Amino acid sequence: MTLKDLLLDKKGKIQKKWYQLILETYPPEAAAFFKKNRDQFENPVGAHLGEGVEGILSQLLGETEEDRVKYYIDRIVRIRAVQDFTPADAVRVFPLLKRAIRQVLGGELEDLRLLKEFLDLEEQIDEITLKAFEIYHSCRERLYHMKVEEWKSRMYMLLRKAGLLYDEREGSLPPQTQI
Amino acid sequence: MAKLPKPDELIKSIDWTPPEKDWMDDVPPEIKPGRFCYPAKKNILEEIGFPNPRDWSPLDEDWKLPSNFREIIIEGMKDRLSKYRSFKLFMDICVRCGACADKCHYFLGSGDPKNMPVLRAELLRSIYKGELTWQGKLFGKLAGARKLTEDVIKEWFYYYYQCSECRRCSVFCPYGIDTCEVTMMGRELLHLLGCNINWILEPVRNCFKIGNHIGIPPHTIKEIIEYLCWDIEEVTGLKIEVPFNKKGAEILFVTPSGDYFAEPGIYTMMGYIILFNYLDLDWTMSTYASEGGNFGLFTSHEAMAKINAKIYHEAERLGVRFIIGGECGHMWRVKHQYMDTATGPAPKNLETPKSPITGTVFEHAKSTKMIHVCEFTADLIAHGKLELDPSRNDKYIVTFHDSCNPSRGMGFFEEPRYILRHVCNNFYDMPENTIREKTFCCGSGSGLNTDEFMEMRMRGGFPRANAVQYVRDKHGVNMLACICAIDRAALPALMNYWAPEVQVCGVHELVANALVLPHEKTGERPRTLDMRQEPLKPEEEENA
Repeated sequence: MTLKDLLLDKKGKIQKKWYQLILETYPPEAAAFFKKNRDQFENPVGAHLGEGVEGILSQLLGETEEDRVKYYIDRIVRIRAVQDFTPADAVRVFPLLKRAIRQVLGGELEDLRLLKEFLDLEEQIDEITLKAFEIYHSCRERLYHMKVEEWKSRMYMLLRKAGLLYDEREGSLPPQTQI
Repeated sequence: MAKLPKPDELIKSIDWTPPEKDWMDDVPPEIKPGRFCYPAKKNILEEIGFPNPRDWSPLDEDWKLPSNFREIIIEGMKDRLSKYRSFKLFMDICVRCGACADKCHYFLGSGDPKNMPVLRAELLRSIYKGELTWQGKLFGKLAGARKLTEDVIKEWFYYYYQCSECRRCSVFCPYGIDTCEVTMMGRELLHLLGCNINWILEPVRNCFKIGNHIGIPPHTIKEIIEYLCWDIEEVTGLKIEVPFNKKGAEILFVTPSGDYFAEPGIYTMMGYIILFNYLDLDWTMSTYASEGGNFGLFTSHEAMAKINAKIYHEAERLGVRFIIGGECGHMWRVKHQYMDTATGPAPKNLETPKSPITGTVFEHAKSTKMIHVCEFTADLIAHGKLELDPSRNDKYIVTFHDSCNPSRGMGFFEEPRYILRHVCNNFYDMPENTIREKTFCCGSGSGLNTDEFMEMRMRGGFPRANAVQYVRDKHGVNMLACICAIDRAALPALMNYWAPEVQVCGVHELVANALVLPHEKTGERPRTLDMRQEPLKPEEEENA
């Protein structure tokens, strides 16, 4: 039996375990709610985390052809980038997948014939973590960008009056204010 | 029938481990940048005569509270309990059923238990019990009571400025407890100690002094609106003059300053101007009552009443017959719920609003003499008074965000939808449990739409953005219409983060796009641009 077969066989359990480990990074009252309510609109955090977890596992196990791993990472990281987490804690959910796999497979991983496949899998998860960091960073960058944009919009008429607007809404600065 | 769990399953599902820490012991909260708004500046508090003006930061260890802060708060609480029966009831009757617990967008987005409405109210309730009831004094924690400390004040400041007073929780409360009013009381008490935020109080000061939140003086208002009239000329070919401070006009129009100052609000403003000109209304704007918004609502009932009063003063001075209010959220909560009692009765020259075009009498506004521009427009459409070409908005696939205050504060659901269905061909509502009275807040209401609070705003707005993502993916929605100036200011950032393909507009921007002006009918000057001066039909532009 290959590692992939093993993982496919226990996919449900791994998914559940991983999701549980992610929930444990939240206060217990919130974790209980995120887990319990299945409505995607009344519990958007739970729904996005769940979608990300399932999607990433399916991608790892090659269940779909289409490469959508970035989309699924985004579902998780975009939320955690604005929640109460340090950057490390925000992307820690992906190393938690390693823990979930080890805990579910347990002794079965001691089979040396699976070692190479196992190392490959861990490398793939590391790769996902790095991608997650990239997305995390782009989210944070966007927040700062938004602050600037918001100020421009808020003062739009004032800036326009002073001839100090330079963005796609205006096209270009009038000649006298060009620097 | 739903499957009922068996007794042994139920027992298994009970988690017997007690929580690590009781919520009461978990004070003060860890206050981090991005999750609080900057405190009010010393000079602002001095100018408006609020207590304890000083330089301080929520990140400081010492908040420089008055030495007798306990007495101040307890007296303030007693005073409000005796004045407001609702506050007394809300303190006494909650049975902690938890129906509201998962209804707050800040809780849904952050997972912070103290953002559960029940717990947020408990922050105040526990002090009420511990300091003012014999049960609380006798049984302490057992009765859910605790004593007032400086840490509790820090906790209040942190969490009462993480509530946007949207009232979604109150929709689900079987007792009708309005947690928003608990927040209002919490904020009023905090004012007594000088713990408040600049984003609310500077606009309040500006309103007191100049008449609008941003502090724009009369000549600048006039100039800015002239700019917009040039834009209108660019788009429609019409030269329009907006009447200011015109004595004897029939209608006074009051709208939030965001509509003539900020983008994308200005396009909605252009919409009102084009519409009123089309109808040849006898209207006027006032450079003093130049703000529909009322950040006094987020401050105290006195500040709210004081700011609102200018609208009646101007209506009286100018001798108008009735007032039309623009697309604004909290402004309409004030008009609908408090205008009567806080600043009423209306001046004698005002009459029950009657549309000069259709003759419709707006009986429901008999007392305030003020109607919403959307009901005015919806009535025009219903009477066939507007010639509309909805295909002009075909590049937009539109959804509608029910702003909290018009929806839950005044039951205003149908009028904006009715207009949207007539001015555009592609309109899709978001899922049922995210609209109308169950609408999710933009996450920036009640004076929290400041940039230093961006992270919390993104968390709080996530449930709303999530529903927008759904209609974007399902129907290709690319325009989020709303009838609130704070929404128009805050939703663009929210969309930028969660659903970047979706833009934000006011309803009257789309009305003006669709409105067929008399000279356009003759083919004299067909409309090619929208209010944003972008091509109405981008594909034709590309092919040309």
